[in-house]
This record gives sequence, structure tokens and C-alpha cells, in this order.
Amino acid sequence: MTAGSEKASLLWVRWSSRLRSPVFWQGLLGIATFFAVWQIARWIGWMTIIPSPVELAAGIPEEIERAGYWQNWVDSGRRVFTGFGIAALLAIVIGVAMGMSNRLRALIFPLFEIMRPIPPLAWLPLAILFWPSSELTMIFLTFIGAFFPILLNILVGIEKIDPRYKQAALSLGSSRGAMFRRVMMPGALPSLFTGLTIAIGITWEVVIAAEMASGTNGLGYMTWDSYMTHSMVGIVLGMLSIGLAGMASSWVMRLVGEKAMPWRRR
Amino acid sequence: MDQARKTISGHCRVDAVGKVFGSADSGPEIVLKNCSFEVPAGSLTVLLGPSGCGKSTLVQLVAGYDTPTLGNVTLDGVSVTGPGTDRIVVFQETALFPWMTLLDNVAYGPIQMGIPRREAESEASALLRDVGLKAFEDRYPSQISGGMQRRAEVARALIARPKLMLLDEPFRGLDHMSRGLMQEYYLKLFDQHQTTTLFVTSEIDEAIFLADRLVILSYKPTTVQTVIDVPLPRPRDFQMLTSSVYGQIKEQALDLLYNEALKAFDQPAIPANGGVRGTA
Repeated sequence: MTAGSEKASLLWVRWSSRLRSPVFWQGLLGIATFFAVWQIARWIGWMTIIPSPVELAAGIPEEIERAGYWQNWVDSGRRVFTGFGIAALLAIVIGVAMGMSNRLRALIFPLFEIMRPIPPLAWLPLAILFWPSSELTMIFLTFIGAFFPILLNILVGIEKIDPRYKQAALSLGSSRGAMFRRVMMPGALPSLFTGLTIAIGITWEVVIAAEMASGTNGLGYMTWDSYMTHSMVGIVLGMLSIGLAGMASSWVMRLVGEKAMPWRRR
Repeated sequence: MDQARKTISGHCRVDAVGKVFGSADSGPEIVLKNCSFEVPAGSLTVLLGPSGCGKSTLVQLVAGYDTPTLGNVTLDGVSVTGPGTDRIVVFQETALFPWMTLLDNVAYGPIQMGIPRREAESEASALLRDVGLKAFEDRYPSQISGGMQRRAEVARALIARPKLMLLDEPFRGLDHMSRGLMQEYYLKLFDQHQTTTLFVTSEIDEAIFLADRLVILSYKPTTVQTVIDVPLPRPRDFQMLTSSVYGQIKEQALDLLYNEALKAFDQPAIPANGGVRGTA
């Protein structure tokens, strides 16, 4: 059997077992009920503003074909991943340094503890004034949103490494470098990925709000613009797109995590 | 195994060792008091005492993960001042690195000591075969059973050729059958490698079955109560558990342990990893 057909048959086995499970059908029933109640509420005249599922299904393809829809994905995605990428890089460097040196930690930690509780959006006015463009403002906000959860989780990860692993590594004659690369880093990796997953979710929240406040494109702007132009279908499509984008991002994060930590796969 | 490494070393002396843990609100707690015993080179010495009596603290001190408040630990005449490659601990729960395959875990020590990767891996592979884990060398520790984890960990310790091996209740938590098999397996390895060993347990049968000499501890403050030599011949098998020598030693040890166990029965235990408190 070729690898391809083996994969296909595996997929088939997985889906057929899923179809036989009552949990699958119960989930489906829940979703169907939700849409049915929504549709009926509209029929009996309870919700006059929000379009019904049937109207949405009819209207959404047209909205998607509208020029610039996919560009909004690209614009928001670029902001999220730029801010997130810079945040991850900096947080990893600073977090690892703080985890390895108690003095550095004592120096920086209190400062971060003051800054951390400030919600990313509270930085908006200052950021608009400080950064020369709204693009940089939005990227900065996503950076702020992602930085602290990543940093904090690295610190926790390094701190929580079981002392037995460090003791075993010492007894086995680890050099400082090996202790760092082969014990501390892999030991902190699960916690780092927890931080990254939380952070990517926050960056989507932040970028949407930032775009609504100061953007001229992107999924957040599109949703807000639809509100300004009374396009109900546009609003709901914007919401759905944002949800999907967030879901896809955490899915990517999980895949990368599984690749980076093969020992955690069952 | 080459002949050179059978030069027997690893004579360990624990000399008048005391350990006090202090905390601001509960005051000082004397865990060990005037503990003295020897682990003769090439011997398998078993430390036997009720659970929670501070056996693990003693192991931490000999390993160099913690320092005694009083007294002194020496290995081949040299004072122990910190962890070193001449002493390796096999812990109660597995301390195999979860992020490395069994092969990488076992090859880690030799690689750190400067042996080329390929050589280290072939030696690790051979040792994994000796402990019956050849087929599992590419698995991660979480993918194998508890008994297999202990065997891999013993292999990781043996390959580093320590002068002294410290086993801290390594078979605790295994079911009765696996435990018995592990003991037999372990004895075979011991006979083969002749590494001086300090083995900690609270199980009297395990202690006598394995030991050349038994060091029996008393409870709170913990000190050495008696040292009993076990003259059973090696290699050993389970039939010896019914011999008269065995019966005598067990009776003697039980008498001593019973009173200590009674004392231990209604007192809070010392945290198993108590020695780590100050350094973590």
C-alpha cells in the first residue's frame, strides 16, 4: 500500500468512527438547534435587525466576492504576526535571561509587574501620539498584548522544571551549555507554548479593537465599516472571519507545538 | 565490560552527619542526628528505615545536592562538597528526561564526558539491550511502563560508571510481581558491574534480598541503629528467601524496625525531597 492511500484509509477510519459516535451527533444537534431557534425567532418577528441564517447564507457569498475582502485577512494577519513575532522573540530572549540570572530577574521583574496589568488597549492614545503611523500603532498594541503572557509563561516554565532533572543533569556531568540547551530549554518548552497560544488569541482581540479605532483596513475595520454602512451581512461576516482567523492561528500554534515537542504526543 | 573499570572503588563514609532544616515559623527541625556508617567499596549496602525518616535526605547529602549541618561525607577519602559524576542517583520517581528518547537519555552522560556521539550511542544501545529495552530505545519515557523507566534509569546511571550509585527507593510504586522481577534484574546488573551501591528502601524483604550489609535507621531524630551483615552468597535467587540465615536476619531486623515504625506511625513525615528546599 502506498503512503497516500494508507493516509486516506486512516482518514476514512477516523471519520467513520466519528460518525458512529453519539457525541458527534449531539454536537451537530446543538448547532442545528441554535440556528433553528434563530431562524424561527426571525419568522415570528422577534429579531427584526439581525438577519436570519437563511438570509446570511444567501448574502455572504456576495460579500466575500466584494473587492478587498481577502486583502482584509492579509492586513490583519500581517499585523498580528508582526506584533506577535517581535513579542515572542523579545520575550524569549528576556525571559530566558531572567530565568538564568536571579540578579537580572530582580532588576526587571518589578518593572514588568507594574506594566503588565495595563490592558493593551489602554496604550492606544499614547501609541497614536508616539508612533508616526497608524500601522505601527496597531502593531505596537498587538506586541504589548502578546509580550507579557509569553514572558510570564517562560519564567514559570523555567522555575517549575523539576529539580530532579537538574540534579540528574549535574550528576551526569552536564556542562553549563548542555544544561541550558538540553535540560532547561526543553523543560520550559511546554510552558512557552502555553504562553504562545494565549498570546496569539490576545493579539487577535487587540488587533480587531485597534483596527476599529484607528485602522483603514483589516477584518476589524471591515466589521466596523459594515456597521457604518448598515450592512448587517457584512457585520456578521466580519465576526465569523475574525473567529475563523483566531481558530486557525491557535491551530497552527498547536501544530508547531506538536512538532517542537514530539515527546508530548501520545 | 573492560577489566579496568572493575578496580573497586567507591568507599563511602558518612561520618557523624547531622542535618537540621529550619523554617521561620516552625523552628529548627532535627532530621538527622549523628549518623555514621560506611559503604565498603564494591558492596551493596542497603539503608533500611521506616518511611518518612529522612532516608532521602541522607541520599541528598551523599549525592552532594545538599550539605550536612554537622559532620562530613567522604568518597574514597575525599570530602563531598557538591554533585559530581562520581556519584549518580536513581530517584524514587523517574528522573529520565521526558524530552529525550531512551537512547538519548542513556547516551547523554557519556556525551557530556566527551565521548563521541556515535560511540556513546552504541554503548548506550548495548546497555539498553542488557536491560531488555533494545526494542524501545526510540521511545520517549512517557511511552513506556514504570518498570521499564526504572530499568532505563539504572542503565543511564551505570553507563556513567560512577564510583558510587545511589538508589533511592527505585522500585517503589511498582506492583508486587514487577518489583520482584526488577530486584532479580537489578542484582544481575550489580553482579556484572560491581559498582559500589547505596540502596535505600523501607521494604525489609527487598533489603535483605539485595544487601551485603544492612544499615538500619531509627526514627526522629534519625540515626544509625544497627549494621547487620548479610552473609547470603551471590548470585542470589528467590529460594534464599526461605533459608534459615534469611529468617534469622529478618527476625533481628524486624525487632529493631518494629519499635521505630511504631514511633513513625503517628508523626508527620519529612517531605521526601526535603533536601531540595534550600537550593531550588
